[in-house]
Amino acid sequence: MRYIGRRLLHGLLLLVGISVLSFVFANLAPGDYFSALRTDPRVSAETVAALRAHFGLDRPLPVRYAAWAGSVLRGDFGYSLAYNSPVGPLLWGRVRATLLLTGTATLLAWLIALPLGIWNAPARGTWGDSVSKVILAFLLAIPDLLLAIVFLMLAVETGYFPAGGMVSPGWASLNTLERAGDVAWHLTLPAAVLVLGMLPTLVRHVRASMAEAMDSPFALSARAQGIPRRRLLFRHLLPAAANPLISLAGFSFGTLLSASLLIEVVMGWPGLGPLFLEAIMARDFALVLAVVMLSASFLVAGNLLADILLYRMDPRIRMK
Amino acid sequence: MAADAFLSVRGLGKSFAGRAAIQDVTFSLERGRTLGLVGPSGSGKSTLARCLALFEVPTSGEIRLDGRDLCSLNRRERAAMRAEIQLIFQEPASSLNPRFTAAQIVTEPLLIRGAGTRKTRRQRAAELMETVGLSREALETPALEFSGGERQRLAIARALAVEPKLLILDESFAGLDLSVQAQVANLLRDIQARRGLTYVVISHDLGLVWRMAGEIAVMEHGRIVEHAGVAEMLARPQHPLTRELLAASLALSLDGAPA
Amino acid sequence: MSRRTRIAAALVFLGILHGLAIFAGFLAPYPYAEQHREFPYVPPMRVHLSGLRPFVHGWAEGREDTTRSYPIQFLVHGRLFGVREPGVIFLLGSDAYGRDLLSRLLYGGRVSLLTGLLAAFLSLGLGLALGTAAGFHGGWLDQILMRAGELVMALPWLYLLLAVRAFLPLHITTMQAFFLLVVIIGGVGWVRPARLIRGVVLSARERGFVLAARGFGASDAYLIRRHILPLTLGVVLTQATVLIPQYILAEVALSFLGLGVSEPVPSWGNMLAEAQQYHALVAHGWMLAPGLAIIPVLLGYLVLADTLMAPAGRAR
Repeated sequence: MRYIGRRLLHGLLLLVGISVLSFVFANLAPGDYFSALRTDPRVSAETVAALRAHFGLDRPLPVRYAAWAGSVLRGDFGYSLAYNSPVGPLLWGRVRATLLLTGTATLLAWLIALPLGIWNAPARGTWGDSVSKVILAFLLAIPDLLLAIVFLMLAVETGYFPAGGMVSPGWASLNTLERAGDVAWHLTLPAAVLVLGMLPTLVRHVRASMAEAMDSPFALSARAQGIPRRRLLFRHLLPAAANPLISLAGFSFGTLLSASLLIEVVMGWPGLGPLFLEAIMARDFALVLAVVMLSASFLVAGNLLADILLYRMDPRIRMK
Repeated sequence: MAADAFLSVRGLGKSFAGRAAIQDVTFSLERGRTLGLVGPSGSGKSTLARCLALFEVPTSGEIRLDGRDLCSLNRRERAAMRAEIQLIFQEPASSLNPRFTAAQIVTEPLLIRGAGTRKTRRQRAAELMETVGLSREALETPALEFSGGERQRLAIARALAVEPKLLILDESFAGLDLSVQAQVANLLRDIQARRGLTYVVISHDLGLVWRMAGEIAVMEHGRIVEHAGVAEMLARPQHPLTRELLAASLALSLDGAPA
Repeated sequence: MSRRTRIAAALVFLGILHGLAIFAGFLAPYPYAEQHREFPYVPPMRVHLSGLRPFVHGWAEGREDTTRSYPIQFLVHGRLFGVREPGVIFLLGSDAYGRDLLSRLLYGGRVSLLTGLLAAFLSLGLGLALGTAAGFHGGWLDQILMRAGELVMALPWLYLLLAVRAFLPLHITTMQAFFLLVVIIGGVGWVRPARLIRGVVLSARERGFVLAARGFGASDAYLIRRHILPLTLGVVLTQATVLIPQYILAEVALSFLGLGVSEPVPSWGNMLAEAQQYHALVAHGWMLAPGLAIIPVLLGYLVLADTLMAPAGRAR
């Protein structure tokens, strides 16, 4: 239990560190939301200064950090100047959309990668294994960006899939089932790109872990004892191969918010990615900071999760 | 115990984190002689070796080499002193960089100390190879292509490069075949006779040590429990540990009586 | 195929690809910004042969104008090949402004590949310096560096790049953009190489021959230079094969999003951004060339990385 407590504390300290760093960076940045206004000849310098003061942008740094940190802890992520709305509500809708996309894709990718990797591992050196290795290598070499553009192109051409967005016009007037179906239809292409992007690395890792488990002395002796294959697989090999896979799963969780940035932007999926990009372009640092902290939190949480799971499942770590 | 002996150690102690690895170690050694240091694992032999070789700073006591107090040297004097005391490590495999050639290994101390030119170092390398019984043709061979015994010869050649007066051999024969051990031992005795070197030979194996040493000190739990000439120790062992070690080694000994 | 042959083959392959990009100035028939407004979206032109002399036809009203032929001239104006005006030669087609795609592909490749290479160089240099310092020195230096590394790694990679990019001026010249990209991408990625190198240095520090050299009075600098650094070479090389393709993709992503190199200087990233005219994209498939060009590059590095990292192979 102390171990988990320590890891938790460690994660929190990490997040605090990131918040400080990002805040400092954001405020070292030349210019802010009002910089564009300054170049506008119709707006006087006094007006800009007044706007800045109104939003508290002229106070000293540590004061602003304290104020920001305080409000974050109360659940208030500040105010987005570009969207003229509090950051919180802006984020949650987008976060839900992103999680829907990445969650589905990650789940699918794991569901495909696990059997594929497990099936592949004993089949090393065979013709089937070589073919799948080549296909996966090729897939790995195709950039997500290209895939997204090509899929969109096909969607526009054939009309089988929508050319972007999460819902069709008039979505609100559909019943619940139809709504879900519509979203799923919009989800297909972006999720497909994500899955294809994740598969090669996942399969590799699964295959490698399985192969290592299969080569270990205890597995070989179990086979020599004539234990039937299925029992061998589920009771002996999988638990042994689980450790690196758990870390990988934790990492997968950690990247749930961030893996789809490019795809969301290209395919018009209204997730966190496009919001982040717009915030950057508009130099809306409140928003940028909020997104940074959110994605960092997910990553830290993912690692923490993996640590805790490993701790629970692997007695060796407990002994350290 | 003559205070003006070549190597004189008095009340030497070294502690790590409050635990004493060696304490109250006192002995002296005449020039040109060989002291054997034996004892079980954990008796402090290696710590003593490292103190003698200036790898560790003792927490108490003193070491005098040729009259000079080793514990009160400043950094520059220590660096100079390192040429006079050389340590030959246990594992020939790990104490040589496998990618270095024999020539590089043997001349490395000279290179580090900035002694001579490339040409004179090459000549030294050839001489040293011959001193330890290796062919000069093998100068360009990388270390990993040498056998265990040959590597130990290289280590000895390297140690000799700086012309030390005191050579400390810390378990230097472990891991070598018996016949190879005998060869290396003979080589070392040869060199000692020719150059008047003083040796401290450390081992857990008494049988190995009596071939080389004139006197033997037995260590247990960081202290010297018995120190006597070889013949005397064989005839009248005092300490129970000595008797144990003797019994163990006599049972295994192949070439019978000590030198 | 033996390991050595595979490595050599991959290196040669990559060398050719990089060479093509480096010599863009010579190989490309046109400068990257040269427009031919009267020839937008021309598909890749076919080269015909008259005996042994290659030529292309003219282009009018959306198709080949066989009444006009322009022989291909070689080694003219400091370029490998070209045709005399008013002929044009678009071997990979042209874009909306009538700019030759092949030329832009080559010049763009130079930007993208070079950014990847330089950024990797920076990351590895930083990783080597910091990892060696941490591993050799230990103590507080090690602690600080490892904690700093954790902070950097706590942000998802692309988000980190974008965040850093966000905090820098948006409107910058091309040279500044290029320099900035290299510094950001390379400067952020030192952590994993540093950790790996630190591990190597930690174990190397304790090896017998290092202790022996210390016994001869060797300085720290000597030990690091002569004994420890050579041991890090393996890690540095394998990390290079992993980082370079990653960084090329980073440049492509950043430039695609408008945060990297921008018009008129081509990079595979901003060229792909242009390709986003979906209604016509099927008809103008050649606009995808920059994306397709990345594939062989990544494959080459992938094969190299795999071969380097599987030493004895699984001999079963």
